[in-house]
Amino acid sequence: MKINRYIFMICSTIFFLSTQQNLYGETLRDPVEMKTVPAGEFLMGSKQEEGRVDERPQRKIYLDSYKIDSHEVSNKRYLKFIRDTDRKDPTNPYSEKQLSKQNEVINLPVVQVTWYDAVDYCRWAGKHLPTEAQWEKAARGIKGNIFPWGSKEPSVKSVNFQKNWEGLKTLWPVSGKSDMSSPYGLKGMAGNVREWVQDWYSPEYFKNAPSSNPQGPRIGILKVIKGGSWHSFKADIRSASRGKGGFALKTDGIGFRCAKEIKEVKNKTRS
Amino acid sequence: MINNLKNIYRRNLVISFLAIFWTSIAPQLSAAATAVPEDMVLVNAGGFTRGIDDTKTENFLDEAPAKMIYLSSYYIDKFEVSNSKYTEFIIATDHPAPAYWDHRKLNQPSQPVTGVNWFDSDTYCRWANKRLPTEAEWEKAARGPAGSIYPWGNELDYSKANFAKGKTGQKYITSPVDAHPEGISYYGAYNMAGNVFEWVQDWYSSDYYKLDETRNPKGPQSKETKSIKNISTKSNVGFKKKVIRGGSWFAPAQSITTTHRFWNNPMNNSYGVGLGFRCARSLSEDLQTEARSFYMNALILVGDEKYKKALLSIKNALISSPKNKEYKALKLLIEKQLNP
Repeated sequence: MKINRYIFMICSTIFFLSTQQNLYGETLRDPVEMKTVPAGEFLMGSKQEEGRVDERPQRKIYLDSYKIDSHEVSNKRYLKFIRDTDRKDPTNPYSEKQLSKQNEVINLPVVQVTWYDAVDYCRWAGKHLPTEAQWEKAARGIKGNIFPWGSKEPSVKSVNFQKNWEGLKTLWPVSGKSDMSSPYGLKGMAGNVREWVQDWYSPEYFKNAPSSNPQGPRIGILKVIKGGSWHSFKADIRSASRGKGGFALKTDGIGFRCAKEIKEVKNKTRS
Repeated sequence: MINNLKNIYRRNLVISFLAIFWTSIAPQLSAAATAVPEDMVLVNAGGFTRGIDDTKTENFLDEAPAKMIYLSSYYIDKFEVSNSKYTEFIIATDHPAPAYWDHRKLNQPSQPVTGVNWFDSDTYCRWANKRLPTEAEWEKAARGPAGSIYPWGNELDYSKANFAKGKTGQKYITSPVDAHPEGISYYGAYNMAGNVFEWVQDWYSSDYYKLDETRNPKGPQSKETKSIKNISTKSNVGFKKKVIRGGSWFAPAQSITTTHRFWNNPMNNSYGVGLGFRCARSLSEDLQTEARSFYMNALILVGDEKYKKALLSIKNALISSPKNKEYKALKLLIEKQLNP
């Protein structure tokens, strides 16, 4: 029975989560600033002399236009979703209290969420998780920047990485530092928390992906996690760097943000 | 008569030479035996019982039949690879961080690295000039020559390992890699039961123990997927699997026995179970020692005037140590005897 127990645990978790999905329609429950990334090509992945094998080759990839949250999802926003959908608070990394009673952390990014939690939140908000390509373009722009701000080496003063846990001081507020923004004005795309994206992970994908609107491999066992976190080394906070983890993984350094396609203006005139 | 005298003289010469040789080589041999690499333990060459004949539950069929397996000498890490060791590796190679890197209850320097897949583990060991242990090597290092059920003996004991979330079921973190010294194995390896599951070299096959590979087995040759249908109780997806061993901090008690076999997709680095590893290393002195024993054998054969056999033996010694002057000299001497 030893094995059945694991399988049962995993299956029941998946089943439980899938029944919890909320299909409230398109109402905007998540009034957060979103940035528009216009349609067009960008340089995805890394050149031969930079980055790792699974980020190569660097290729021109075309994406339709989309909007993406300018910040990581905060505890405040996530707790609203929790209340609206009768879910339990995520694990509180700061104390034994319930997370919703820990008032001083409302502007810090939510952590201790699984990939399914992230998917459900974005669906509830009428959005979806960005694809890996959407996330990477939003982070580095079209010219193949190494980091959101360009190619300058980061310092631990201006970017939250290479740090040990220091309680409430560990994570930085989602509002971020403006001089470290991405070309589209996004905050926190390097360090602070790693971010779940839509795609399955495959080490071969950057070789094989379609060059227009890639959606990730059809199947896999790990999801891609982008951007690195407070404990990451420099190589892991590069925009092309590809973290990975199972969809049930929860840590004190994984959060997310949501994206949304831009519909044709004609369809919107009636509302 | 003269020939006989010559022979006696020659035999005495050889015997006295042997005696001198032994006194000069013996300290070197014992020195070699004590030069165990830092934080590794030596598992001496020899047989051990791999697997267990348990007919009570069909889930344990992949651990049967119990069989005597011979392994050459090897070293194995005394401890699971720690976050602090893994940090050195990341800094040196720019390797990506493991899945639980930013989980504050699992990422302390003394805790085992958690959230690595098979490829990460394999890459680390090669970087450290080591390799992953084979499944058989892992099992021998865990259970010792007496074939115990747990590394420390045959009684389940919550104080000797970190498993099933502790005795209270509330403990949700890994122990430092040097914790539970009272639970070490016969060979001195720590936390071979519980703490984190450990990747080993071998592909998994439920039928592997039924095969007749009893000398340094290295696991199924190909990435077997054929037998998965027959073991539906143990498989959820038809993927190629690597063996993981030893149970974890929240795995139930029955998964921390020294014979328990579990598996995972080599790409997987998370999914609930704690995935870590330790490394092993073959003895580089093995070939030297082997050459020495061929040389000794040749000397004895010369003493007995069995020159043809002696020539074979000294040629074998020269295969491993082609430049050794002693060996070359003895070979010349034997050849002269054969073709005066």
